[in-house]
Formats: sequence, structure tokens, C-alpha cells
Amino acid sequence: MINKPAIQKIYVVLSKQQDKADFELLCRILSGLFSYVNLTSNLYLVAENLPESMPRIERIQKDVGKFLKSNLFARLYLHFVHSVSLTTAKEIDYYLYYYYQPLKRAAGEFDKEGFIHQEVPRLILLPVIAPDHRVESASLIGLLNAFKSMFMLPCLYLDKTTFFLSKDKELLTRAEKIYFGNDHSREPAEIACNLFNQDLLDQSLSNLASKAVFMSVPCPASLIVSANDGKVYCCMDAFRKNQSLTDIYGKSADELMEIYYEHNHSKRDCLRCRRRSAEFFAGVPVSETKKQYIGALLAHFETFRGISGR
Amino acid sequence: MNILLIEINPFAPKMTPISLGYIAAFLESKGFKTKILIVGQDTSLSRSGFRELITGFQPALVGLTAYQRTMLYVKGFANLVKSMDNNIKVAIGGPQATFMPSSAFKELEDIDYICRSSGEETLLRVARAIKNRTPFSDLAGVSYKDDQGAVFDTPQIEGLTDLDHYPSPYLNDIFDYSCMNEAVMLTSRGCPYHCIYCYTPHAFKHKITFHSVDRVMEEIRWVTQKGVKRLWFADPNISCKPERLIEIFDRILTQGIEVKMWVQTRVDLVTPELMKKMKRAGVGVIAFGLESASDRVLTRLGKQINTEQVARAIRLAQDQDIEVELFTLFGLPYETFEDAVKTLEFVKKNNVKITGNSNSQQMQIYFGTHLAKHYTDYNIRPLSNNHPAYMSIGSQYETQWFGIDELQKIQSMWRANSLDGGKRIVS
Repeated sequence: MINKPAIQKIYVVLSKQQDKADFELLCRILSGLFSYVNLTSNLYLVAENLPESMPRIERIQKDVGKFLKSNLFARLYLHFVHSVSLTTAKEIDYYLYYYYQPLKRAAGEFDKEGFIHQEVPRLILLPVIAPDHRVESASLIGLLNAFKSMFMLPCLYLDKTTFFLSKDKELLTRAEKIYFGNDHSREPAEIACNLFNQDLLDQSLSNLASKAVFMSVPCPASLIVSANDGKVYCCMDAFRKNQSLTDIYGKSADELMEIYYEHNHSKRDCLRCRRRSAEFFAGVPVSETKKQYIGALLAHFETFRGISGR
Repeated sequence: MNILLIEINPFAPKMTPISLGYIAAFLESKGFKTKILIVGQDTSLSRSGFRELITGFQPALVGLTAYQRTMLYVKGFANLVKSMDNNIKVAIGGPQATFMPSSAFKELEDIDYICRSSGEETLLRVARAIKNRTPFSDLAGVSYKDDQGAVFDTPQIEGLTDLDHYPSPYLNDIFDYSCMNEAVMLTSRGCPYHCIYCYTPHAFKHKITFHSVDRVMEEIRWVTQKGVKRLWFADPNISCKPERLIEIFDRILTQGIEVKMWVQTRVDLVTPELMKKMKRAGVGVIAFGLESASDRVLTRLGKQINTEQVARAIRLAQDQDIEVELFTLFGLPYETFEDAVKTLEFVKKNNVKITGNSNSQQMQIYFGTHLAKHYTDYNIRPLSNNHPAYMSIGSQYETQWFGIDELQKIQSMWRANSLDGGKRIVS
């Protein structure tokens, strides 16, 4: 009935410094793109740290709120991804007071609306924290507890320097999701790739379990926007290879989406991308059960490669 | 004239909205062109995509199914429709609409009609009125708000007593069953019982109406020939007329139809013979309404069953290797926390897997139920008096015996015992 796929996920890779006019343009384009996102969609704002990016995150959240307020059928999960160097309880309090509480307050009207309508709020905030390697588990647990008490759904991003935290069961039970990166990089672009890959892996595992979907189907319709140069990518594979679709300059969101829909997504090697995401996670400290599932998925890809010769 | 029918449930995977299917088949038989849009968790649909659909199909009427938990989304779609073309009329129907107070119109700016009677006839009248360019004339079964904002209630319409007079959504290809594994079947409507928390008996005036066995079999043959492998019977009590059900199963067996089935019924409507027949015909899962494992509470609910009967029905099914699902509720009138724990223990003791529909949920107080009208008599206290008029008390209450903390505690206990995290399939 409706042929054009709705955008499921938008990743905005924020830059350290941002020209004011460029950022205004980015916000205008993003607001226009909301008309093309799925009724339930995800927006990832990937920043290096909160202190530098806070005004921009607040601004984008405000635009999200504006869209949701005038479109009651839409729901959005807003993931704000960032490193935090906090190690002490005092630093945690500081972060809560100056960053997370204001973001939560700005989403308060959706909590109220959800309560009145006896449903989950249409705007859900998910802080994705890349913790410092010096952090103590107890401090991190304190932060995650604080998030939960504010009805935010905290996630963790662990890399090689913080893999040790994945052994802390108490910590794991408090996180909505644990993301992994298998290097030391804290570059937003790298983190965005790893988040995407992990979601793609989870989707492949679910496809394998349901046996209902072909593994070669493209990933969920996504857009990746690089705030640094305004380039727009149609998937994470294109982002990784710097094969941009277009940029945000001199065009409207409608024109941008026309280019997106004209672009032949099927020319990309989606199966290979899925296989790579599974290979990537073979080496990270996920649970034994998940490792087995990943093993089964890799075996499936091998069989497919044998049959198709790809 | 084109009519767009929309079913929204963004919290669950897409399911075939068979009631809308019936309405569509009926309207098509009267010369209207219809389209059904199903918006589920897994639907890919954007604001822009929806606009494209409206522009392409150009409906004169949009009908939305309304449930308590989807009211925001219903309002959202109605608003988008009106913002595109204010001449398109918007109607809501379904469980939330039937008994919704007309005062709700004040907060439903973009809704023109609230359908309250049988969907087919009610919407046909609305459609004909719109087609005749007199959108508020000769209506029945609806409340409506005219162009000046004045609200009117019209007399109710009775649905047909012989369901076979309604065109079949299956045989008329309203849904494409060739790409479905499962079909939702509806062989009867209504319920003659008096459970105080339930909407269905009141909506159907405690009556039950049936399709003939011939019609049911024709539909089963049709969908299975198209490749459907599972039938999911939405009848509230499939064995209300046991002899009729046995005839259906006999014919499934003699005609060699191989299909798996899910059915739901009351524990006092099953016998060893029926259960054996069910198994042979392909019933894999049977769902019973337990609600509470306290006989004292069950009596107060007007359920007219006891826990001994429930345990017996479970054994009958399990003896035939039919999987049992139990619908249970907590936060019921006169139910204490200990009673609620007893319900959880009962489910476990009777070897019913706590998964899917067997995950418990808090009772909801919906419009039209006996409880919605008489909640104070049951010492139920709403938590807020500020909800919009289109929302009923729902789950926002506590009882004299069950406070908020206890409601949360029992919910956590069920979740902790759940094998799937507590997701229920049937509301």
C-alpha cells in the first residue's frame, strides 16, 4: 500500500566545534526529515562529551518535542551517546544536575501525556554512556540507578578499556542495553558505527531465529548525518566508506529524501555487511549464549556463501 | 466513494483486524471502495507516507478503531487527515467508542462521528449520508458533531441476528491470505455472561450470534487453500454451542483439512469428548479465563465458575496434550494481595507456562462495563479525576484492598516468573 520505506533510524554524528549557521541548517533539515521517519523511530545523537555538546543536544531535543507535539501518532527514542569521564560520586551528581536533569525536564510534558493516556511516553530518553576506564562499578551503578529513577533508560558503551565492566552482573542488570566497540576509539564516528553494527547484528539474530526473513534484506532504513561537513549517508556501510549520498547544503529535507529514495540501496552488499557485523562481535565479551547465537549466525553465512558463491 | 479504515496498535506486531474486514466487505457490497491500513509495531509508515496514501486514495471517510491505549494515536491520525483536507469526515468505532461519553467530542476536535452500534450498519449509514452530501442526516447508531460543533446522539441500530447475512471478508478477499500463515477467524459475536469487568456482554446486550457451520467451513477451506496453516479463533467463547463446534471439527476431519488452531472458551463449556475432538481436529492451544484463583473473588466478579472447574478443564486439555493458556487479572474488586499471589501460584501449580497470554495484567476499567458504572460500590478509587473524557479509568485506580505499591509488587512477581518478560498477545 505504501511503497517508500519510512526511515527507522537517524544517526547524527556531532562535531566538537560547529559553525552556528551550519548547525541551524542541520536543525532545519532534521526537523524536515521527521516527516519521513517511521511512526516509531530512533534518533541517535553521537557526541564526544556532554559539556561541549549540551546546547546542541538540547536544541535538537526541542525540535523533536515540537514535532511530537504536533504529530500525536509519532513516538521517538532519543539516544544521546557520549563519553563521561566521571569517576566519583560528586562528579556523578554534577552530571545529573547540569546535564541529565535538564534534558529530562524538557521531556516532562511527554511523561505527563503518557500518564494521562495510560501509555508509555512518546518521547523516551536513552543516555548511552561510554564510561572512563578509571570508573568504579559502584559509581556507575549509582548513575544508572539515578537514570532509572528519572524514567530514563540507560545504556552502556564498552570498549577494550572498559570491557572489565561487563563482568559486573549488578551493573549489567541496570543497563537497558550494553553496546560494544572492539577497540580503544572514542571517536563519535567510530562509536556510531559500532552502535549500528550491534543493532544490525541483533536484527540478523532475530531474523535467523524467526526463519521468516531473508538474511540478505537491507538493514532498517537509516540516515547518517555528519554534522562536521554536512554529508548525508544512506547506511553505515556508506558512511564507513565515505560514500555520501548528498549533503545538507542548498536543499530541503524533501529534496534530500527524493535523492534518498532514488538511490538504489540494493546495489550495496547488505549480506556482507551483516556478516561483518557478526564477525566484529565474535571477539567482544558478550554472554556465552549470545556467543553461541553469533556462532550459529556465522555458520549460516558460511553456508550461504557456499551456495551463492558470494 | 472511497473509505479508508485504520487499525492502530503501535505496541504489538500487526494482526489482521477481522472486524474491519467485515465492515469493508459489507461496505464494498453496497458499492463503496475501501482500503484497510494496519499500523502495527512492525509497520513502516511515516507522516509523509500517510499523506501520500490519503492523496492517492482520496477517501471521503476515514474510520479508525479506538482502544483505550491507542487514543492518542487515533487523535494524531485524525488530525493529520483533517489538516490535509478538512472535508474528509472522520469516524471512530470499536471498544473505546461504543460507550464513550458524547462529552468527549470537546477533546476530539478532529472526530466527526463516534460509532456505537453494529459497525457494518452504522458506518453504512454514515457513508451514505456523506455520499448524499448530507453528512448528518438519517444517521443511527452514532453520536456526531455537526459543522457548528453541536453534538447529537442518534438511536441505536441492532446488528443482524444471522451473521451469514454479512458478506465474508475471507471469501471476498479483503485480506490477502496467500501471504499469511495465520488467519484470524470469527464464527460468532457477543457473550451472554455477566462478568462485571468485561465490555463484550454489554456491547452485545448479553446476546450471542453465530455463523452457520456451512459458512465457517467455506471460509476455513478458502483460507487453508490459500496456504494458511494456523487458525486463530477470536470468538470469546468458541464452545458456547458445543454441538456446533463438534460439527465444525468433524467436518475439518472428514474433509482432511490440516490446520493448527488456537481457541478460547470458558472452563464450564468443555467436556472430555469435546477436548478429544479438539485435539484430533488440530487445536494446539486453548485459552481459558481464570482471572483469579480465589473463589470468593470469582463469585464477586460474576464469573460463575470456581477454581475446581478451572483445574479440571486444565487437566482435560493437558491430558490431550493441548497447551493451556490462562487469562488472569490482578487488582480485582475484593481481591487482597494474598489472593493475587494465590493466582500466580495456581497457574504455576497447574503447569501452565507463564508466557504470552498467560502473563497476568492489571484489570482495566473500560467504558460500558458494569464496573465503570458502579466502581464506587466496589470500593475502587480512581487515582485521578483529570483524565480526558475519551479515557476511562483504565488501570489508574486502587482498591480498598489493593494499593499502588501492591499492584506494582504483584506485577513484578509475575514478571519475575514470566518466561518471556511479560508480553501478552491478546489484550
